[in-house]
Amino acid sequence: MTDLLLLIVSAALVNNFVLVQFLGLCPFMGVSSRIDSALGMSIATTFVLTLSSVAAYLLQSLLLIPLDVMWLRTLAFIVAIAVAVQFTELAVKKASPLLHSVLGIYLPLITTNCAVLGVALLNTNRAHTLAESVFYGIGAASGFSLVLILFAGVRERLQLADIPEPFRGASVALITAGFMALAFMGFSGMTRS
Amino acid sequence: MTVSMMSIGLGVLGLSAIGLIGGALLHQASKACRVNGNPLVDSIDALLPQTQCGQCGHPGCLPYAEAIADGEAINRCPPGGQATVDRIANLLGTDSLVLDADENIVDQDLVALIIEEECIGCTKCIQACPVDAIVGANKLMHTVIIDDCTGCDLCVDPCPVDCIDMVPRPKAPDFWMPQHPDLISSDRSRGVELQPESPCIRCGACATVCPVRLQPQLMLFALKGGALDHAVHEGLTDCVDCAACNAVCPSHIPLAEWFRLGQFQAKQVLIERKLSSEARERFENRNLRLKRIAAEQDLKRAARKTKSGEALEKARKAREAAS
Repeated sequence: MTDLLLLIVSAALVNNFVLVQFLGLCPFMGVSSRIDSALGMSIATTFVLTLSSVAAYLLQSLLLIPLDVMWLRTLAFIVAIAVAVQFTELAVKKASPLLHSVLGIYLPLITTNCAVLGVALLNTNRAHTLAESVFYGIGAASGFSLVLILFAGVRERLQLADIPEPFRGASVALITAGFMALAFMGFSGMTRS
Repeated sequence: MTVSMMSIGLGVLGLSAIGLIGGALLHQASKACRVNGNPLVDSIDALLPQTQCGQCGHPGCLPYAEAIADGEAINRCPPGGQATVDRIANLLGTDSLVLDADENIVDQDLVALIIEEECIGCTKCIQACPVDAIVGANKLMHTVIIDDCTGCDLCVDPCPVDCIDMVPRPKAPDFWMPQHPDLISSDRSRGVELQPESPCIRCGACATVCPVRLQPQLMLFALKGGALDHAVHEGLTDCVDCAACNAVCPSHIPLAEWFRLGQFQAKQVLIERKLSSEARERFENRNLRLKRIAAEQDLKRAARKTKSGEALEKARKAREAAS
């Protein structure tokens, strides 16, 4: 149990997918201009990440290894992730059309979010069990959500701040992201791997 | 690593199987999650000014809201002005566009005024008004109910004697906006030497003295950034105009003047929303009434037809009996 908790802490904070491993930067910059859309994106990504890490584990152990077709791993995972994302999109459209239109292109783009494929591939590389895969997925997702929502909060404040002209918009956002990455380096060394 | 034909075949089969299963699952899910209509339309419609003027090229505000939900440009509403475009952009999370209209008709709150001595009582303007804001009867003078007029100017063209003018809406005291916000009674208008304003240094002195425990510097940033909603969220409407923040500000920023101006703007937004919801109600009621009248006329016509049919039948029978 301690191992699983450590796995979550490691994936969420120490090896944060966005700020330490630099995966999933596209939605991190794209959907972070408002807190409510960042919250919606976090929930959608958490759902997809958890679902796809289970699906990837099942694919790996039930199909790829028995058939000895490990070279199809990336392709098979992308198919599973695409199905999970499409399902999420349908669910979001049904539950909150406003969120669906706010997230726009970034919702289907979760498919190509490298954090999602990254979790699936890292799970297989490290030979995680089913429980470990799920917890690793949840940890990665909570780390992504935490950083995305924090960043959205900072950017909402930045919109009202008196920023020198050349730094307005994307520049100051990137600088802020750099500072946040520096801050997250403070977690390094807390756990192994 | 050599890959055998067997392995390739298995891989293709396995991947196809995954694809098929995934496709079938998604098909079921899309059946279960089918959405009827688009609830987004209501949220957009609530932001439109409900003048029902048709300047966007649609017969009313609701059809335009539907068109926006289907992807039409959001900047086609001149009565709403730039503020409405910004609000819709905010709702949809897109970039705001510049209002697509003539400069001179933007930001003018107009109402129709009938020059009563010239009116001939033709009722054409009454039929044109989308919100039933004109009263009058055939060959009797008409007049505009100013509080209900949305300023859409649809009544101007039908008037055969050209007796309708568009004039600025008379301002009730609630609409009064301070033209010179620096005239508010505070140290700077009591003959005390005016200090030039310098940038905020985030000292927090204003927050310490505020008797209603607001965060004046946050409200100031919001107002300066044009985010009125954000300022209201920070408690702008609770400000009591005591100007204590002005007195302590080491940068001599006229905080109280900003807040006074912001409060007036916030109040005006509230009044505009109330007016537009009333206009929508009147427009919907009018459409219902027109539909009911049309249905009643259809019924009467049908009744007349069957009646005349029966009379013809009777006459024919009488003729047959006579012959």
